[in-house]
Amino acid sequence: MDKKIEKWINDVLTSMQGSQRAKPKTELFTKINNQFINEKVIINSKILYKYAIVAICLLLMNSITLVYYFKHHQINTENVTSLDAYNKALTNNSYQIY
Amino acid sequence: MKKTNFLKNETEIIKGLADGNEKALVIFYNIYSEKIYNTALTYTRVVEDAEEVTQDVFIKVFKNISKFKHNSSLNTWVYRITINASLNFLNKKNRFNIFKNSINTSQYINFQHPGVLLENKENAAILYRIIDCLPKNQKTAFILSYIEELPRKEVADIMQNSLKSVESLLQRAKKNMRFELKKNYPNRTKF
Repeated sequence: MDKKIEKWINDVLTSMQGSQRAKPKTELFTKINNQFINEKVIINSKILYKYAIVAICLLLMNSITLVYYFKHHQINTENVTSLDAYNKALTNNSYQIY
Repeated sequence: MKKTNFLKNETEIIKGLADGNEKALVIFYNIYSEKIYNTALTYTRVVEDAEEVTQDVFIKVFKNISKFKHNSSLNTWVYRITINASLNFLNKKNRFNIFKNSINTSQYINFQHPGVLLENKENAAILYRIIDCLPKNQKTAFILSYIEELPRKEVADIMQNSLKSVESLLQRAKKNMRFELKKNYPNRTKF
């Protein structure tokens, strides 16, 4: 009786030996492929957003730099203009000594 | 030479998936879909649930493939995701299964693996019921070793255990299963 039980137990424990793998339905690939494409779109969108943020940051930095440059250049131009006037005044003929 | 070619292909598959290459998806699906589906089916015992878990695993792979660090083989990584996804699915199903779906419960209890040899069908059905008596780690070790028929070393890598731990888990699993089977021998026809 024990031998019979042992045999039965061994048969149960080894019952999956030699079995074939179950195949999923063919529609499953279609579903997975669609999700793969959606994931690709999401990933591409995220990359696009990142590039857009970088571009905006660069534009902002350039704009700030330009504004600063023109403001600073304007002040310098004013200084040059007054210096020019001063130099002109010095060389003016009306200041003839003789 | 063959091993080098396989590794080269694995790297190309990983890169292809990360780049969104559909050819890489086809290759990956052909290699892994049956492995993932069969493991999920062993855990869930319902075809629709196994398909849902399989889809879930593929999505997780797509989302995380660029973060794959090659600490293990792609095969090991995919099996790990599959087991975690299957266990999470079962936990979620049990938690929210307030109104038990009698069709699914019946399918679970009377599960017949579609690929088993005809002469083993009855015993295989009993095997799947007895597996449920095992603690989680013993069950995983048994499924990977005796149903997925993976080498012990690979099972150890998947479970992130030593080879010795896996051997110990398998010994205890078989001991527990033998005890349950012996106990139920008189009622074996009613299984």
